[in-house]
Amino acid sequence: MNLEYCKPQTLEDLLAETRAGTHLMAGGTDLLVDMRSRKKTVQRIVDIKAIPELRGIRETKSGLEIGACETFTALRESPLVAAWSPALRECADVMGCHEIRHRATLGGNICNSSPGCESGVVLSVHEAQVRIASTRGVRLVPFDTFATGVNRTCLEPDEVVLSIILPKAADSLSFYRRITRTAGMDLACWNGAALVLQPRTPAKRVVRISFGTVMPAPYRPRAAEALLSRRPLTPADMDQAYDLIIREIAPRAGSVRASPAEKKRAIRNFLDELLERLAP
Amino acid sequence: MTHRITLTVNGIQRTLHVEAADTLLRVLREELHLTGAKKGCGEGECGACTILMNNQAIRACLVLAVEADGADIVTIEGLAPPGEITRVQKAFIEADAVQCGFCTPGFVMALEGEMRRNPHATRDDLLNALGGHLCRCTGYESILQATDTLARQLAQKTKKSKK
Amino acid sequence: MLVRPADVDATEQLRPSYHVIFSRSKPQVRFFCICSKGANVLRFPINQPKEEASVKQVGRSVVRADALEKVTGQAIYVDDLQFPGMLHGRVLRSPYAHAKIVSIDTSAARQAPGVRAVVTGRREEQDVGGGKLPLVGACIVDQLPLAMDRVRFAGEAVAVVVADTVAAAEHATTLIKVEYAELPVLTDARQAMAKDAPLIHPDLGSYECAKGFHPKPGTNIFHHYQLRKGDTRKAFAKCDVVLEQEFSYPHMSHCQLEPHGALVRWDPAGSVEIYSSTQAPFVVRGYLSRAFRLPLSKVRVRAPVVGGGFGGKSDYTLEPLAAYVARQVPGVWIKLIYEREEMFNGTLVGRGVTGRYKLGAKRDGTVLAAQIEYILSGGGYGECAINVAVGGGQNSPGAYHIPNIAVDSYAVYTNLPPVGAFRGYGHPEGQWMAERMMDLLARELKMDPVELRLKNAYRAGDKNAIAQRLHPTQGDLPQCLREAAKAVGWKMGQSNVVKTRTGFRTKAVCSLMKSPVQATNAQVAAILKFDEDGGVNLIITTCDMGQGSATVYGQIAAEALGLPLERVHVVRDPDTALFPADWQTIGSKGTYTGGIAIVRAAEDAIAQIRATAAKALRVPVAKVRYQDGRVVIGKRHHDIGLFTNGYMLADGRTIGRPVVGYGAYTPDLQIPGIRKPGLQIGQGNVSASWTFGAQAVELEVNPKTGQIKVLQLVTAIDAGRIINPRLARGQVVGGMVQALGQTLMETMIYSDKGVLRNGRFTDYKIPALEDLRDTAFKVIFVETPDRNGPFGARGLAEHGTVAIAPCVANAIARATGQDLYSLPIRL
Repeated sequence: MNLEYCKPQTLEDLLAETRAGTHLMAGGTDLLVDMRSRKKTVQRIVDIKAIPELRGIRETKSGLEIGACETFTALRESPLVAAWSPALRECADVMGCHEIRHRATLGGNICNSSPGCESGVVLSVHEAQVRIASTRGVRLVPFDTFATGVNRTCLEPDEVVLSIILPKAADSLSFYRRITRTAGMDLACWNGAALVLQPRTPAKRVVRISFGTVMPAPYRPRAAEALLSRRPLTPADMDQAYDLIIREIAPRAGSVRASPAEKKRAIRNFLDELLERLAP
Repeated sequence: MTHRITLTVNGIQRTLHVEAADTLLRVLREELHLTGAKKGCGEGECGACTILMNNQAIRACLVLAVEADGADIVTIEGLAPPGEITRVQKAFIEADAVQCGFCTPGFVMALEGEMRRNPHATRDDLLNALGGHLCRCTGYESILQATDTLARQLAQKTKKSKK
Repeated sequence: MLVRPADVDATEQLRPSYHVIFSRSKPQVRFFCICSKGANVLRFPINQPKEEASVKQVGRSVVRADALEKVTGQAIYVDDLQFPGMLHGRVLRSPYAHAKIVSIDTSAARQAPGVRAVVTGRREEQDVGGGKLPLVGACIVDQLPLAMDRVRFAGEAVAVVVADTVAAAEHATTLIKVEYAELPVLTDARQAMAKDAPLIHPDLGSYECAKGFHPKPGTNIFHHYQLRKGDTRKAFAKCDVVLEQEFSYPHMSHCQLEPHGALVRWDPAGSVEIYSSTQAPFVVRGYLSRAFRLPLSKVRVRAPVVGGGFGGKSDYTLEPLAAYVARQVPGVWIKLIYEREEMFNGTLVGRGVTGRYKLGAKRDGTVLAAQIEYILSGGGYGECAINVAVGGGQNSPGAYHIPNIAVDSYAVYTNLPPVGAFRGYGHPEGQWMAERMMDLLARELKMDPVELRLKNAYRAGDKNAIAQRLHPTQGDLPQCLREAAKAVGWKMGQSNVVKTRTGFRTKAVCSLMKSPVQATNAQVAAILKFDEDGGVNLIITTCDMGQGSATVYGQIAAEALGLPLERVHVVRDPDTALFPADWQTIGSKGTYTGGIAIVRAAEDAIAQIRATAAKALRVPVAKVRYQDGRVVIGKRHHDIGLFTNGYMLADGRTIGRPVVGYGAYTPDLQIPGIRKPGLQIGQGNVSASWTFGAQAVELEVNPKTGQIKVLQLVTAIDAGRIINPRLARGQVVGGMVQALGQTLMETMIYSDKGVLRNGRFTDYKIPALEDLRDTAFKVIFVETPDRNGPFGARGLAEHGTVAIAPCVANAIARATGQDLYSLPIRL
């Protein structure tokens, strides 16, 4: 009941405050909900919204760097995001709702690490890098290593996500899809993202796809990607890719959100759309 | 743990002592007696608690009061001086977009927020601002009508200002 | 952008503008009083439909009386009330759907900071004197305010903490240790009906029960309603086509935006005051009086502005619990406001019907027989469910003239949250079956489904299922069917299915009907109290929870008195100590019954005014006419204000006394199920009025993605004279969208141990604006004036919910061949 709260003003102070038993808070749109439902027992909150190093959307030599505390509204409205990743723009458009987007952050979204989090599948196909800081220094972790399971990440208790970096993908197309129960606000009951490098050159084309809610973390079906890359594609290829994917994933039966059949159908439709977009 | 916060609410500076766990919604309603913002779900799903914080529409049930230290807050009570109403409120009354009224402050604040943020907001912008607001009574037809009226008004203003 | 007279664009503002007095100090809504500029005058120009001298109040879409206070956040709901020294309650609920309570240890909770009391349902605490327990109920008395030795649904209240703050109370609930011994859980009504099913209420046989209800002790059936008309066995034998199908309509939640709440104070001298978000202040008073053995005068119930009810705030909800708690902590106001999660599993739910419908017809489409089994999964307690089984069962044959009908409707205990009234009250459930069957029959007979319905639709003169003869003034169902079909663009005899690039566009048309399901003594009274300046105050207990009764009643009173709307003030916030009795605001009967009471009160007032005028002006009463709000004697017109509070002669003597008009409505009904000579079982005069209508939908279906886009939602309804078309439309559209939610996205999902899994808006989805932004709504009012209703009006508040689900399923079946018999529909 005696909740502690502090709001450090510098990165150094923040790192000093971050330890086991501490919950970092950005937008609070997951944290406060989890406190209410008692999914989390929270005794100490450290508000990270005042740290300048966690802000900013800028092009660097590593790629597009997005500060962990950038909100989904900022992502939606950023011309850089629109240019670098239509898929990221698309997921930011539909995440939560207007008011939630003003508060929810990209860092918060990936740290909560829900299997169906909106940005997860997009960062997964981009092979984004997550920049992590602690008093011991800064490290870079590929997104697929960062997200380790249902509400789990590779973060140590004393680590803070600084930013997320999308590597350059000059000649590419990307898109994001999800299924929901209503056209209003909903979590993604299933989602998927695709990033295709050199989409117009079948022989060089690299296809990356990632699906959420079908495994504990966003899932890249590598065998299907290998099948779909570096060659022109036909409907039969998509059938085969689908079969490969289905064999690998394990969507939980009994979800209150979407059934395994609905998720499989969504994957099927996603592959059809991919074919349509790539067809010469 | 008690925190002292200073914030501006509807143009008036307030100093309050709040618990870390207090939501902004609870403090507005129970300490400042601004009961226009409503608690419909407590988890940011319905929109009935929507207020403006630093000119952005946010869900007060998902903000801790301590986070509002230094903030500029506008609630439905602060939209217009007594004796006056805003275009949004007028449009809602005329379209009969109010039945039980519990969701109404949230809808009004969302539209106010969007129109202040974006004076050239289109119909799509306004509807987007309402995407996460639930109403169980009206079936939304009248709310859509009110929004259409506002969109037309904004479009006329935009047209005029371009001339 | 603020609206000030100078700023308003002249082209937008219609003449005339109206002045509204808005005073926070008085809990009233004043209607458009013309007044001089005073300190509390709120001036704003609102575009009001033009009032001409010849245009009467009925039929005008006047602006909702309470719109201003709601749109400015000034309306006071129960959680907005704050009293000095107020304490807060929080409930601890059972995580098990069926269990014995072995022990409750509240010692740690009682020591927690800020805690004033911890209340449980132990027998010693529940004793209201002489070993009597505060049992709640009137039809079937089967529930205690707080579980005593057993819980019957996951979410049932087990203990309550009272503390200085909500947070302190909430924390203390986590310190209460309850030991449970689990019992077998029944989540399915048919299973609960099976022989040797474990008993949820083993003492059912000893429960008090009202006349007309037949619980079956030794089973989980707490009522069996039967309806028999003609001889179905013989009739089926004569049919050319007999179809039979099972259906289900799961539990759904009302999802009123405002959760339940109550503020209670128990006076140590032995009385209780309660503010509650309720549709039923007098009924709540009755329940509390009976349970706590208090005279009715010692129980005062007030309803502030109610943020949505839909039946879920009728009968009783948290009031007995709140009163029980307050009794243990007397002398102080205690506030108990439910969280959204508690609204899902801690209070009434709705629907929950499985059924079987057998329909027989001749090849020419004449329906001869219907046999229906209607099984209501009533939840852990039956009081609020029992009449839904009756009303739903009664009207489950649908809006058709069927000469032979057999209905068996069972109200069954299950270990789920208790069922109560939910807009439609069994009629969406019953007509989900009936309207699907009609389309199946049409398909079998290769007949147009609208033609089939027209052929069998109820018409004036028909004797309906309960042997009431339908009167021409009760509505024109065939006309409604034709109007709905026309509005949606139905082409008779054609498929009405169009292939599109992504799937199909498809349509369907269904009939609907509902009568108010009400107690035989469901009375409502109205008082008209006059001010010295000729203004009139209408005092009537109808809870305006958004349906607009405060507005419509003002129009009816103004019409009946021939006065301009500005002179009528509808007094707000019902109070059982001050207001005349009204059974409950449910059943779509407010306009009809309240309106009749108001008209009678006006007649009474007019008679008193004429009597005073006659005496004052020394003419025979017969020479005193009342016309358009004036007393007319010969050629002279007098304002009624001269006579409403005594007429003072020149020498100061005063003739007459303050006029108070009184009128009341009492239905002349009989208890369903009590047989009268000449009638078969279940028949009788059990419905005061009927409203018929038809609905239609147009959908776009994408079989590949499973997406359903709703292009049109249509209702053609004959609710008699529409008092306020705009408000009436709001009711119909709101009802259609609620039904759409229940058709496409809503359902309570329970685990096999009876625990609710989706009790939050995160996972119980209701329609959002985006779901409807491209939908065309069409509402047609066929106005066959009712012979009894005020100015010919009938009820319509629920009817929009009744037939949307079968319309959607029928449209899908026509397009894709997929036959759906369960809700919600997810392709």
